[in-house]
Amino acid sequence: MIQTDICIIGAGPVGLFAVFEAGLLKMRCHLVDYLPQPGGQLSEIYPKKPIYDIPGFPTVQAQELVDNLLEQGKPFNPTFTLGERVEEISKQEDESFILTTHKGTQIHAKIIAIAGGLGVFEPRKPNVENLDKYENKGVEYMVIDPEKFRGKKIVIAGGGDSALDWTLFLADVAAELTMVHRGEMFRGAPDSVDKCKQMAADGKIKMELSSNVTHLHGDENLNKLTITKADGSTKDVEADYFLALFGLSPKLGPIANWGLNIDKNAILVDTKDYSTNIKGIYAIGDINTYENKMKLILCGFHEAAMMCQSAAEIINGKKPTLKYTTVNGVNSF
Amino acid sequence: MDSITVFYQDENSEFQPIEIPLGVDMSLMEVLKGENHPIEAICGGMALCATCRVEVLNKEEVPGLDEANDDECNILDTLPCNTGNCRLTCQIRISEAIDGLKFKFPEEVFA
Repeated sequence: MIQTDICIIGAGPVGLFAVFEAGLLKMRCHLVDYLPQPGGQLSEIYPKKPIYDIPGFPTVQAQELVDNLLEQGKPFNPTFTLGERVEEISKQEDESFILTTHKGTQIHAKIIAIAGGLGVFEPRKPNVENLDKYENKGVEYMVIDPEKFRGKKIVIAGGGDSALDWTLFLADVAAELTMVHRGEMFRGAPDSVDKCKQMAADGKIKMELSSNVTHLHGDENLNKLTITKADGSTKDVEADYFLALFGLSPKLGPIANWGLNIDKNAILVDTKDYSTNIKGIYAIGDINTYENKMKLILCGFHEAAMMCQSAAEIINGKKPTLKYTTVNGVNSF
Repeated sequence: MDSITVFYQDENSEFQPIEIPLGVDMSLMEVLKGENHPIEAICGGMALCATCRVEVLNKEEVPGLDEANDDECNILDTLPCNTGNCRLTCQIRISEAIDGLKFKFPEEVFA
C-alpha cells in the first residue's frame, strides 16, 4: 500500500501547487488523477491557451504553467497514480484514511485534499433510445482494446478527431465499418478527413452524413441500429458494436458518495482552512464552494496554502511556524 | 430599448423569462452563470468544453442570432446533438439581436 502524508485527489494546477506548499511544511504528497497525465483541464482541454491572471506572469500558456508547477514541486518528490479514479475512502481508527481506486490501488494517507476540479471527465453520451440497455453489450464510449472489434460490424458516431482517427485505424480491423456524423462537413485534422473520405469513396467504409444513430436493437446484445437522416428518412444497419465517440464531459463521480456536504456539485468548505465536514478531508480549487467563491486558479493557490497549514497542525499536533522561502529557501526531501 | 428578454424551458416544458439589461459586455453564458442556471462553463468561455451548451428552440424567429463561428463549430461537431440547433452560450453576445431567444438546457443537466 502506498503511504503518504497527504493524498491529493486531482493533479490539476491547484493539486500540483499543494505539493509545494505541503513540502515547505515537510509533508509528503501522493496525487491521484483519472486523466493519464498531470495538469487537469489545463493539459486536457486547453494546453495552448494563454492565461493572463497568474500573478507575476503577464501571460503564460496553460501547459507551460503546468510544467512550471511540476518543476516547482519536484524538490518534494511527489508520487502519482494516474489513469485511476478514487472510488472509496475509509476512515481508520487512528483518524487516517485508506483510499481505494477503481483499479484497486490503495493509498494510506493522514490527510486527504480533494482538488478534483469539476470532477471526473466521463464520456458524453448521445441521446439514443436503449443506449443504457446495451452498454457493454455492444455500446462503447472509448476504444481500449482495438482487437475486440476484429471481424465485427461496427458503427462509429461522432465528427471529431477521435471518431476520425479510430475510423482510420479500425477500417482494417473490422469486417464492416459505418461512420455516422450529424453534420455534412468534418472539421477534424484535414489529413484524417481526406483519408476517411477516400476510404468511403473506395468502398472500404460507409459514411452517413447529416445523420444520427437514433435507435438500438438486439436481444441480449446489440445486433442492429437505426440511422435517421436530417430529412427524416431512416435506415437499419447491422452492428455488433456502436462506438459513440463524443468527447468527455465532467461529472462529480464517486466524490458524491463520501459523506461530504455538497451544494450544486461542489463541496462545502470552511474558509478558515478549506476543511470539509469530515475532519482530515479538505477541498480546494474549483471543486469547493463557499460564499463569494471565485473559480480562479489563483484563488485555488491560496486555498492550497491555507489547507496545508491546517493539515500540518493535524499531523504534528501543533500549529506550524510560518517560514518564508526568502529566508529559508526550499529544502528538498 | 434598455433590456432584452430571453426564455429558457424548465423541467415542466414551460418557458421562463430572463431579463438582461443591454449595454453589458457579456456573453449569454456569463449571464446564465451569474444567475446560477445549470451550466458549468468550465473553460470559462473559450469554446472548448461545451459545458455551456443549450439547444436553441426558435432559431427562425431570431434572425439576428449569428451563425456559429469555426471554433464553435469544431466543438459542436463532437457533441451528441440530435437537432443541429445546439449552441455554446459563451459564443452568443448579449445584444438586441437575440431578444426573444428561446432555448433549453441539455437533458443531462437535469439528470
